[in-house]
Amino acid sequence: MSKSKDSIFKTFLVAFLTCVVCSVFVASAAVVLKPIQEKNQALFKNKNILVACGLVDKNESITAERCQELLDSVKIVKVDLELGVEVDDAQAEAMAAQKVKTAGTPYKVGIASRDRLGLVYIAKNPETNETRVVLPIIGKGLWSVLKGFIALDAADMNTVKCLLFYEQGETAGLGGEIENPLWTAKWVDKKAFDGSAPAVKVVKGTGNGDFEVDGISGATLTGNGVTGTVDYWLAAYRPFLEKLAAENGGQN
Amino acid sequence: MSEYKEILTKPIFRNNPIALQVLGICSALAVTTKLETALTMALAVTIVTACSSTVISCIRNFIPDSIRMIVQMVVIASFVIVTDQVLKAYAFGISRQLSVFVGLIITNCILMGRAEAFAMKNPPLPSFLDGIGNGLGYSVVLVVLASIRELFGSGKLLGITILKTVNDGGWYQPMGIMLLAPSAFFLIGFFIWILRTFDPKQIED
Repeated sequence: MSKSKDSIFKTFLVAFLTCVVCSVFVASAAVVLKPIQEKNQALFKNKNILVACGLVDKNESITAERCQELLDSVKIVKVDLELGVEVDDAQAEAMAAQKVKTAGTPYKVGIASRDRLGLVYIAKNPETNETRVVLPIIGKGLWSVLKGFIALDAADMNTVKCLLFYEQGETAGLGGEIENPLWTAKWVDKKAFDGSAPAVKVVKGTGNGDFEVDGISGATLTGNGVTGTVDYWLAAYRPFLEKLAAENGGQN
Repeated sequence: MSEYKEILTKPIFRNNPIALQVLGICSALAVTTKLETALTMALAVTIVTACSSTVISCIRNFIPDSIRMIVQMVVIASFVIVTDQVLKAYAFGISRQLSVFVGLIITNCILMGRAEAFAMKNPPLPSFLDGIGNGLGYSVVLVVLASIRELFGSGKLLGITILKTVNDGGWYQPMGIMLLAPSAFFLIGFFIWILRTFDPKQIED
């Protein structure tokens, strides 16, 4: 018995069969569960939009219906990032597939190209009367793609109200701490722009002044990725934000 | 029958995987700041250990010696990935808190240890019970650690406030160290001490 099971043929056969059976098992679980997982992810993303808008507390658990209800109160603007103007649904659909290279800016966002079409979420908090402009950001940390949102105060289009990441795969305990609310809280009330250029950044050690955010020890490279990502998107949305600010000014 | 009972209950206190075999310490430190994550992790490890031990035991007579560890790893890894996928689908919030640690069950020494030491030599039913037993042994330690750490570290149990902390306007000053990994080391130390006081046979010379 033991002789025959150790033959080269048997070894290959067992290895092959184990792999086939296990991969079918894993693959079918992944396929069956995917729709439910995607639903969870979408809900989690929407919840993060609401957190960035200041409408929901991060620790609050909310139902999909409540999430949708709140999201309906948020104004979602489609923006042509090349021209910095709002576009309607037809125009948005036309440029949905268009990509723009990220090279040529001084900001190290870490991804090669991005969508031409951008989304801006504008939400007014009924309790505090504060209006926030939320921008989606995507870039590269040390290992992984970071996806998140940054919220600016609509009154000056400059004060950071919230920064959060809802998807990242940085080292747990080091770079992964960018998801830690204690760290993201350090971004609140920093200034995004110095003049018209994005200036907010993560520094090593303790950050001073309006533009510097404390770095996380052991996560310098992730911090650089966050700086590059945030500043890249601030610059990309800048023309639209200026128009928005001018409109708001005109109304007042 | 009593033999099966022995296999099932022995790993809980008398041959505890964490306290006596000193396996699976890494995740015991990492996931025990809250009872909720500890319970989920304990359940996941118990299920994976039981399933993988059963499967490995079923095919033990066909596994060639030269690739036996790799075959064990493939079986264990498959169950871990499926568990991770199930958690992502049905317990999304908890799976985010557990982050990498569900995936790291693959490297939890308890699983390899039981596969190599027990499942390769015993029929499926005892192997299944051995897997459950060791999972329970791991669970007992995790639940004890997490209860103490969550209660004294943040004044809560399963997220329900028991001791109202000073920050929330109560009287209890939380012990910050309970939320840090070293406290789990101390607590495991006390757990082993108490266990060996009652069962001196576990003391090594």
